[in-house]
Amino acid sequence: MTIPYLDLITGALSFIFTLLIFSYVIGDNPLFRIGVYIFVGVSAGYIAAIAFWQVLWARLIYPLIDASTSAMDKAFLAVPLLLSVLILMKVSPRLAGLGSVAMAFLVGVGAAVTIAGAVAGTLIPQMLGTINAFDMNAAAAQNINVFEAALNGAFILAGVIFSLSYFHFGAHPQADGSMRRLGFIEIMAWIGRIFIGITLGAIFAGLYSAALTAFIERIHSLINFIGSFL
Amino acid sequence: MADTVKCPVCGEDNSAGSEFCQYCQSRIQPLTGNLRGENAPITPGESPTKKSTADLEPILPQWLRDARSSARDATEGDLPQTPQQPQTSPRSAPQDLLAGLRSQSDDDEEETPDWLTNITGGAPSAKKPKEESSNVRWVELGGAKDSAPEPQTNKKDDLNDWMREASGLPQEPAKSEPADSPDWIRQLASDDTRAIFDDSANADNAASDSPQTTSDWLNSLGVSNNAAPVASSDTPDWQNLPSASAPSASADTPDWLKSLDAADSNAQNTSAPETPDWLNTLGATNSGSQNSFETPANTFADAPASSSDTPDWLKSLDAADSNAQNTSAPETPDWLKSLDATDSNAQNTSAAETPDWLNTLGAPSNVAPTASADTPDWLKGLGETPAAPIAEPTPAVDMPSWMSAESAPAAPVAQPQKENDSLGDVPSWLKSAAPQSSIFDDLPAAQPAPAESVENPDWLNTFKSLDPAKSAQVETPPAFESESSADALFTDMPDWLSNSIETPAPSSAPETTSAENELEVSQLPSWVQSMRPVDNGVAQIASAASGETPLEARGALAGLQGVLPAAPNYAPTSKPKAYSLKLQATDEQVSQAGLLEQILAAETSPVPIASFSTLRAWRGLRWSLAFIFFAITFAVLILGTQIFSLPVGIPLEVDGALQAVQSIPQGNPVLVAFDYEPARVAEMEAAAAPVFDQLSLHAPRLTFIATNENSAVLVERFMSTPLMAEHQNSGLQYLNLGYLPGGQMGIRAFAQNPRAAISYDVNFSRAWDSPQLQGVNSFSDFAAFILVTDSADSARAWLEQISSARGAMPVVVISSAQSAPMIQPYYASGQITGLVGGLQGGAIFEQNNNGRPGTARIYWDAYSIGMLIAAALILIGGLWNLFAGSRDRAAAREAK
Repeated sequence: MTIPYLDLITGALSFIFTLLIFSYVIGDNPLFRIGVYIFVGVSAGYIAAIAFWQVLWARLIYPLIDASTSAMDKAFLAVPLLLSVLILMKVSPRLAGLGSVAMAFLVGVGAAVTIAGAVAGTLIPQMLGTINAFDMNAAAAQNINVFEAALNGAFILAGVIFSLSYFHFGAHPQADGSMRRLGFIEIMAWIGRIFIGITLGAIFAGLYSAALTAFIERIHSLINFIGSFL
Repeated sequence: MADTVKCPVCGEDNSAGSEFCQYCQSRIQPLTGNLRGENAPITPGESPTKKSTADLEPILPQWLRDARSSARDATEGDLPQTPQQPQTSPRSAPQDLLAGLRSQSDDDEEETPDWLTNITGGAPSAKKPKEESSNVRWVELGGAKDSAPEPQTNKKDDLNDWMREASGLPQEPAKSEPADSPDWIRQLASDDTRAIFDDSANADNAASDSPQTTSDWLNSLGVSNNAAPVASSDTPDWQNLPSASAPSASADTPDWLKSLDAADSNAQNTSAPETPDWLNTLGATNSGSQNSFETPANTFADAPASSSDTPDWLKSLDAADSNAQNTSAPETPDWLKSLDATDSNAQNTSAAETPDWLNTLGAPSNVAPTASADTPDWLKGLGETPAAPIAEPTPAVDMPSWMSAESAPAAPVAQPQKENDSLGDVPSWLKSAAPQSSIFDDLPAAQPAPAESVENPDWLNTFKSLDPAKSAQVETPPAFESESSADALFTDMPDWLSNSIETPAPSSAPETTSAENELEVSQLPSWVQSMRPVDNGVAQIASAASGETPLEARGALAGLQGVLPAAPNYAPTSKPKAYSLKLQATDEQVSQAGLLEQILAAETSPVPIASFSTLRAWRGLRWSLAFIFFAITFAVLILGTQIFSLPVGIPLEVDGALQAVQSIPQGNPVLVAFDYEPARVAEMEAAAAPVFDQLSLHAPRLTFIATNENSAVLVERFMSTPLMAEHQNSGLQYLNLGYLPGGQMGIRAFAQNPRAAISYDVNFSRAWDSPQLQGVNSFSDFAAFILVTDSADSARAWLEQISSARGAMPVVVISSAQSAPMIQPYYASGQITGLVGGLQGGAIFEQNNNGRPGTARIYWDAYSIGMLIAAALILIGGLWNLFAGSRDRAAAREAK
């Protein structure tokens, strides 16, 4: 089987760096550090290249020099151009104040977009989802048993309530001077800890599954690289 | 010469009758007049009349008037307070006053009034050399190096004009004799009927070496004693008077006083050339047997050029001398000729024609002096002084009383003369000004100073007291004290100067302090002394200050006490009031304070933290687990086993994704967002491959966009996988828009207006002109939206920002297994159509791709074994910890 030289080189590099990373099994060592540093450096360089070619050049410079770009679009490009110049002033301590204008614009717009998106895309839909879990019609439309749908909805509701109860920290002073939450809040919080524990277990399983998948893929690539020479 | 008068300041010639110089506006005619009338020079035997020069005070310079007033005030202030002070203190004031004047005159020489210049009789010097200050210094202090000889060449340039005129130098006809010589001397010179000197030739030689600028009559004070003179030619004339005590001033000695020195020339051969001619003439007239008298005469005779400087009236002396040269005889005044005529006779017989006071000068040369009755008394006294070591002096009958008094103490001084020849011939009143006598002589310090005569010139007493350390000795021979005729020489002294000096005289007392202290005091300028606090102020301050106040040791406040209090207002006025520290608190407040104290104590007290048994990095266990994983994974992958079956059943979220993909119409645009890290490539590709394999069956127009910098290239990697490469070969086309910057803002912008958010693809081609985006004008125009992400945050951002723009567009999320649990609620809420999470979701989805095995199947056995091993290890580890904990608790229970 003939291996293209490019695939051979990339395969060899992949093989070497995989071994460098796997060396962490025996503990922190220079081989592992070399592999990590190279990854970090390559990633930074690649990100810089992407930022220039796919952001500055593709979205600011090239449209300005492109004859096909309309004058109106070029006029609108003055805004990001001005803001980008202003934000570059952050490099100089004396001119950092000028960059604050662009930073204020970024922070303000970013906060507004995030909050609006969170409210419209997460809070309200999640509340509606929890409520709609008891929608028997919807369950019936999905061929879900009503009992199962109600139980599923109840379990989701309980998990939401108990988990939120866990994050309720309101307490009242006791006779001995200690601060303690109400009794039923304590129970709900304790149950909420179970739901949270299960969720964290699921997340941990997902992390382990993702890591295991990556590990298997690397072993498989090593085997494929070695097998290509056999 | 008679038509023009040389300005004493600028040296320019002016008409003879000019009162002021037409060039520099300086006064030419002295204010003191021409010594006529009451100002006429006194003759020997006459008592000087005290003159008031107060009228001249308004024309004094301001600095001089200030100095005078300050000195007067200081003197007036000291008189009533220090009646018993030593003599040094009051005398130091006038000394310092004059010292201050001297120093100022050095700087402002041009401001010297004419009357002051005329008093001294010397012509104002144009410019003083720098070294003159030192000369003035030693003149004041009486330095030990007074005997240093000075080259005659320098002195020759300083020849007085009138002396040059007297010597008959033809090359200097413009010299103004009347302007440079004191009037009273000129008056003496005009009296040609008197024969004064014997040898005019020697006088000519001596006059050639005399300096010009120094006042003659003052410099003459120092002539008599100096063996090796170092003249300060440019010293102010009136200040050079103290230098008379210095031996170096012999060159500037006035002629009539040099004659005194000439009479003493038994040991002063070197000083003879610098002696004016007419004084040397006196020395030559000495008929004694000393050969030294003849030596200077011969020497001077060898210098004919200098004889031309002899004034006319002095040349007459030469002419009258029958034993001398007759070269200047025609120009000799008659009165000088008479001197020569007198000298031609026997010395003892010449006294009858010569003036009495001049005859006395010749008297000392005689072994048996016979003073003439016409000789002035004070000159007789001078003449007797050098005769002391030779013969017993015989007081002249007509000698003035003050000269008689001078000659009287000459005998006791004769003994020191043997030790110091320069002093031996000096009159006693001049010895008082000699610094060496005041410094090196060891006389009783407590010797009472004789009371100074009122008629004595006070300013001269001041000079005598320049060296206050030995003022007692200085004052021992009061030359002018009892002789009022001596004041005739200084009747031109202004009153202000006399007053400033006279003031401390009554308070003078015997000197009791040491010489060193007196030197320090005398060095203080008068203006410094005027700045010092007076005794009254010190007493007041001292009385106001307590005994603990510091005494200033230095600086302008030296000697003051308590002027600068070290710590003002620091002294406590009373004992501080004692306040009780006991609190007036109720029992409740005390209890609350105790509670607060307990709380604070609990905060600061260390609390034991329940530590968990940390999972130590056991290398053997870690290596063992690593070996297990590597071995099993290698074995499974190498063997390619399919021990574990794919997941049975299909979850709702995966089923929703499958339904969404299968529901995409053929050839419709599908937007795919890649947002994951390269490290998750294996899992994400394993989960996404079955979905895109299923999607590719519907020939979608794929448009990729990335919200992660690395995802743009991961799109290309994904599309280059064998599975997607196969679909591309089948006609699948895609468009990579590349990286979408701005995070949520970029997503929001793209969701609202995709055409405005992105215009070009990664190849810089117009994206919206590509066939993949045909018919797409808004976000909702896409048939489906597939999000491939490994981050729940990225999925949430996308879902949040496109919620208002998606419409009914199905959204399928392909996520990593680690983010799937957090994306699951979005599926439960209906915000996403389906969810494929991790390798498991891909494996499930893969089973529905018409049974085409994919990547998930390859990884599934290894994945399943790895999950089992992990579960087993976690279970075993948990059980081990449970067992170990139970054992420890049992051991602890047994230990209790």
